[in-house]
Amino acid sequence: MTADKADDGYLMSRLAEGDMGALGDLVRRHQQAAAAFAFRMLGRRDAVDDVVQEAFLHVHRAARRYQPDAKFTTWLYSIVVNLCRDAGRRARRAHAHLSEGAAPSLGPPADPLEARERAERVRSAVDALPDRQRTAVLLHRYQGLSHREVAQATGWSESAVESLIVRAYATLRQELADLKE
Amino acid sequence: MSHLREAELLELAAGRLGSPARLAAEAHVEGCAECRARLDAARLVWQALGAWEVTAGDDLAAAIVGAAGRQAQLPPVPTWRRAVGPVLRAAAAVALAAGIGHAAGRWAFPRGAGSPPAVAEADEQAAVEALSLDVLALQSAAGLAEVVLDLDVPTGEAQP
Repeated sequence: MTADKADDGYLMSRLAEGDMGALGDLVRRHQQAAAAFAFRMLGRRDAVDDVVQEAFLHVHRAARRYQPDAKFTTWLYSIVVNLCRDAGRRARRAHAHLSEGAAPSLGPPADPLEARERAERVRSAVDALPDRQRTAVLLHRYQGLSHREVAQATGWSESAVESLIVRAYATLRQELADLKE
Repeated sequence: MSHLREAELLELAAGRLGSPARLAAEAHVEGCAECRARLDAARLVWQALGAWEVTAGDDLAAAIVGAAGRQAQLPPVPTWRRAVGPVLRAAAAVALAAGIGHAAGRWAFPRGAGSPPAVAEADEQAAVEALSLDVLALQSAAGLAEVVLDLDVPTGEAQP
């Protein structure tokens, strides 16, 4: 068992006993990763805080029922994935444009132009993937989840995840061929 | 040894293969030009994807803990309301289905123009009973026997 998993499990047990300080510790530890993932999923900044807040409120509500079968982060990402799907559906219904102007707002402000252009190219290529491939790649590449953990976070089979990831990287290899130097 | 699977190459490029699997994969790549080229391609796309950096926004801990505290103070939904909810939903679904069925029936089988409802219903009932009797007659032992005999005994042929 990794130290991260033990610590998160301990914080969850404290939260289950009503220790709100433990919730604060969990938020501080994981909010950056959850927000980065939500931002990449949604493609816009305005809904990220709502998704992250709702995800941790769900963690709070479910603390007493929490069973540490998987890593806490895998469970947290499963919550964030579902919230992002809901937010995406609501945004599509509202005819919102999801990606325009979103990338620079969270990028490092001092980036040189070339780096921003490269980041924008990558963002566009990832955004153009089919939904399931995009979700799998975001969890795998940027959140560091293994195939099994991606499967646990999404509810898809491990073999399906492997297939999605292989196809997604093959597409990205073609789309980003000129960025490889 | 067969070539490495694409998923293995990706994990190797990402530096996420566990020790025994990584050593075996590296040994294979060392002697396999094709897999070496595939690994190089996987590493390049992995590095290219790293260009999309995202730094998160504000610290939400205080806001989330505050919202969770307010959430905890809300009165819980009474048990009877949680139990009644599904029952009410099921009853509404049944009522809706019955209404749709009734309306569809009215639309599909309109009553004859000018005939009083009671007379029309009596006619319908009589027709149904007559039809039922006809069917029963055909399926009575005698009726069925006649049909079977007709089928089993071809006309003009001697039976053994």
